[in-house]
Amino acid sequence: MNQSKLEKEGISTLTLATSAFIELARATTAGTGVLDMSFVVVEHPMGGISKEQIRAKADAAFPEIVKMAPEWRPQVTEGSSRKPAYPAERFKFTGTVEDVNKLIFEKGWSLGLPIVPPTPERVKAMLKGTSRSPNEVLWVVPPRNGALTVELLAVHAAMAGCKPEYMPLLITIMEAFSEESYDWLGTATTTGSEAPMVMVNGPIMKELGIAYSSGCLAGGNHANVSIGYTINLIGFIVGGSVASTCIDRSVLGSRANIIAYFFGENEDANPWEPYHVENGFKPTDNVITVMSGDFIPLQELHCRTGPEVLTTLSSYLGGGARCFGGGAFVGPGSSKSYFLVLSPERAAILAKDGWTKDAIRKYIVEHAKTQYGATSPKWSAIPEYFGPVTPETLVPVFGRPEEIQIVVAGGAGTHSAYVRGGHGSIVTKLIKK
Amino acid sequence: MTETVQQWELINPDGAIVLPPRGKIEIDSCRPVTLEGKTVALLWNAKTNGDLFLGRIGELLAEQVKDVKVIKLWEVDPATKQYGPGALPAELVKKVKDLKPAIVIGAQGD
Repeated sequence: MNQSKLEKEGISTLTLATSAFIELARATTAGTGVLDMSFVVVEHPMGGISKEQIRAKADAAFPEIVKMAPEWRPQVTEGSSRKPAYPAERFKFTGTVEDVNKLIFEKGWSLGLPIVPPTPERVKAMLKGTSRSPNEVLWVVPPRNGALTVELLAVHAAMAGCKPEYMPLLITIMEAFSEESYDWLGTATTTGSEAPMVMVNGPIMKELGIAYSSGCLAGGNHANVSIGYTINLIGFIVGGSVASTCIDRSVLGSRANIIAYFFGENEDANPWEPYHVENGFKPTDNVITVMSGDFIPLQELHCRTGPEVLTTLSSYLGGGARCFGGGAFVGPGSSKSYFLVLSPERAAILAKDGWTKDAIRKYIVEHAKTQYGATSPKWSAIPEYFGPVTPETLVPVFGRPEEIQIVVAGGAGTHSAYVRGGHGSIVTKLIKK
Repeated sequence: MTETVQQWELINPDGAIVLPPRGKIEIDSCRPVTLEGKTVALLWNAKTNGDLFLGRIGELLAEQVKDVKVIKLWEVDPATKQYGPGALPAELVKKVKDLKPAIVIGAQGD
């Protein structure tokens, strides 16, 4: 939150938050290092209403603002923790497996799907998959700021049914999510439907049986499903990103907020360098790449040449690559990222016709366009060098070729997808065993 | 089939909440006791209509608070109009600080 950055520099602030976002704003405050801030609540919504309605809301809120600004003083003055991060709290319970699941759900410790009861024996077995110390804090998960120790990660991995050998991969994933540039807080609390995405490269895919071919985002693969489930259990329980408490503000949410997007790159069918090699790693390195986003299918069945494939994909991307009404113009200078997930058959057609990844990116930037009039002018800040625009002017939806990441995944067939990046940036990390 | 009732030892999966230390800044000692004659800066996070709302608050402050000076930060530097972890980097925080506001009123959320 911007205001907390100011508070930490000794600048007093007062934050106006709408009634739908006040709980999120309060929860976010502690995570920024400021324990207490002054808030004035304004009736939701602020967007999508007339100037007159905005003015009326401001007039109604003003007396409290002008009173709070000089009078409010912080109530919470010292940091504290209710219990130690390690070892995690143990407790006794009598009942059936079904009773355990009912208890866990009622306490807000599950997403609604069944869990494997997290017993000390199961957690101890899970910890055998790593040499990392169980008391090491991997991540303080926002917005709740729960301390995720290696032990607690093993608890969640056990609940999701993971195998001990997944632990090094899980640890690396958590370390990637913990990086500020990933912006877990933003993705976990946004009104959008974005969800965590993890792509795996390297020999570890075959060692752990990670799906990268047909249906790699579907069910039926133990590693993909249980790791994807673990990710969201941690976000929900340790991070407190819960819609019913008004902390997760997803308008609709996503099924990938239950089982996160988790898949391997189909290196066997990739006619180009695998993604991790393209980014400076060795082919034998095991690497994860994480991003927050939405998978959007790109359906095309009948293209037979590289130009046909790219023309069709660019048409799709030009129409829907970005929500212009709520975002910025994706022009040069944009820091957004997108994954183009090509099916092996489409990648093969392009490579056979001589298309490199760089050539594909350049083509898409030049051809994926939309009419300026189809965007919200207020938000679509056209760079000055672009020159004058009319509602009919075709403007690019991608600014720079490097915004577009190209990977190959999935099995036989033509369907591809793109992942529209949400909050934060791509993080790529080496998995250390 | 009847499920077996067992005695379980289970591990609480929620984890300890870590509250960061407050830091060196004694916030209450530097908060304003009045807005009269002071500078009030308005910080818009770029969400829809936040500028209109804050603009109206600025008008009301100017009308009703004696000798108050209102600054719309997004007019001073459009780069302040951001949200997310990259918003308001150190150089912009300094820029705000150099304006010596008694308080910054910011809009948060949608």
